[in-house]
Amino acid sequence: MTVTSVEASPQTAIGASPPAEGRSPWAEAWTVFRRNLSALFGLVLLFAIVSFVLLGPLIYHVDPFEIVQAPHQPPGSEDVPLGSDYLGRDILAGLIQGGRPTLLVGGLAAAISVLIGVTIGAVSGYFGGRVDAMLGRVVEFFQVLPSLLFTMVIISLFGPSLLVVASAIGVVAWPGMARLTRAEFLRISKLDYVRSSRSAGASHLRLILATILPNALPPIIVSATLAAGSAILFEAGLSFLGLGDRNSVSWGLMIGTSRPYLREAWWTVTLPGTAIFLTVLAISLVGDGLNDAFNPRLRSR
Amino acid sequence: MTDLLAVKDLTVDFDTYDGRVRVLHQLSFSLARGETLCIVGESGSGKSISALAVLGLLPKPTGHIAGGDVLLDGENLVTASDRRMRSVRGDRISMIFQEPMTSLNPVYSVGEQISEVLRQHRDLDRAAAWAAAVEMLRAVRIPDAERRATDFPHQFSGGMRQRVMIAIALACQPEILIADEPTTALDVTVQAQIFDLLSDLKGKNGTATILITHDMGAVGEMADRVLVMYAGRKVEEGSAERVLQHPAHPYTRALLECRPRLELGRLTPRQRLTEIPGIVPAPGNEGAGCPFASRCSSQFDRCLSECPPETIVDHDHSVRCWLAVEAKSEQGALQ
Repeated sequence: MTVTSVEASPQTAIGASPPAEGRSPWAEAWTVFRRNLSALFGLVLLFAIVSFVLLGPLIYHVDPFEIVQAPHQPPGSEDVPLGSDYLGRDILAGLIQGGRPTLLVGGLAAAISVLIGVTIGAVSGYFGGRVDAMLGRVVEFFQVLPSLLFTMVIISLFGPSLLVVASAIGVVAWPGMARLTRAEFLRISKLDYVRSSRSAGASHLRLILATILPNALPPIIVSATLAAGSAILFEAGLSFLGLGDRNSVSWGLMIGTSRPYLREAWWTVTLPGTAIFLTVLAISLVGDGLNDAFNPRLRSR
Repeated sequence: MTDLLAVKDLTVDFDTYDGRVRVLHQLSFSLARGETLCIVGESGSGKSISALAVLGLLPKPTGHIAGGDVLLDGENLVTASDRRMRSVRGDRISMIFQEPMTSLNPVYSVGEQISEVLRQHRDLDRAAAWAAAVEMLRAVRIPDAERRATDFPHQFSGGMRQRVMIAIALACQPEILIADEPTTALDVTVQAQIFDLLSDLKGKNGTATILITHDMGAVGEMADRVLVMYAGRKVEEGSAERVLQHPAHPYTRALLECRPRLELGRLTPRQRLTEIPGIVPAPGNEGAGCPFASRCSSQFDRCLSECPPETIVDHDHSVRCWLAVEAKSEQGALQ
């Protein structure tokens, strides 16, 4: 059965495939996700990266700030499996220790932007009218701010700690999330099951959180994963410019500080760059897989 | 006997791009405990709007109640707070809608959706609410209720979903059930089952029912009283027997004539169904006279210039038509 024929006759699609008993839409999404090779690959890769970052320090005890070798030793040299940087610090130790702030900033920034964006979008889309118009202006205000400049201002005001960097990225990333959530809430709050829930006496809070939000989640989850990916890139960019947290290594910081020596020692920049690339790729593949899994049009395959 | 629900001069306005338009004109009716009132009329006659207005669920911010009262046991719902209305909805008055296919939340199992209403209005823990939900599914005759309670809406057929909707609506044993064309989206055989189920449950719980429909067959089967609406106004009201046997308004007569008839011995092949010519005038465009005048086969001059008053033609039977007014004054003259 092709996708187009399903769309032409939704009746047959419902009648033709009686689903297994008691399966929630979430369980069905997981079934679809499991069959998606690239998404599974992304998930495995992400799992590998996270365990590398979390378990690495337990196995490999080298301080990433300590000078352990002569500068610019190529990978495979004694004591430094992945080479050393311009000060003779261990790149592998940097990759292991630098992963945690990188992932943390990515996850935290995505969480912050989801929290702000979903709250504002939900209130705006649910209540509509004057509330929507007012919040719309707020969203627009943040959307027209040049994001790099704004984060730079925040970081120079509050100092370049991990939390500040994550918050700054989250604060510039939420308008997109708010618009997406608002659109979903506008669409869903007009649907019949919301009306019947309301006629059964549900409160505003209950309608927003328990009735509409679960139905609006799929695109929000997809967009949150992608936001985590771009937050990691953004953090790398800030660190590259020297605006990251100076007290902890991060992949972006490693690239930034080794930048002048790219031609003499390629590994000092390429290895952390690859780490960022693989992480963002893994997150994007997972996000893409989630998108397919939640999209009912692709479900009939 | 005091009425359970009394609607008095309920008037509803809607804001449109062309300004404020009146869609419901001073509707009054009452409902006694355990009684079934059928509201009939074409699409756009204000049936659904009156039901939504009673529950305070007019679409915001376009719809307003411009006047009138809705008294539930003497308490005015028009002026009640939001909080108060929420405790009334689903508990004392519940509603089922036309579209069973889309009226259930796709992300929760049907058992969860029934328990949700119960937990909201009754002080029940999760397990007790679930048990009551399964009991409700059994009451609406869903086979294998225990297992089906864990199923999700997309695993039910249209008729079964409407049963679930009825289970949700009746879970708290409301005093009033408003059913807005509950069978329009269903097959004819399933329609009959749903009506059977409704009248059965009604008999058991003594729930008063407002059935909104344009199926005159269903009216004959279910109704104690009938209210006929046209263009946002009540045009005729009375006991089901009176209205169906002796319709006083030309519109009611026309509606009754539109029914397909199967009378033995008189089956003529290719007999066409009767229709009422023209369409319901758009709100705000009814003109000065009787809103039905332009489509009425027995209209005369007065119909176009003046709106007829409500006239009582018999005990518990009233109508808004100049014919009834004239007949009455002739009667008075003879006496």
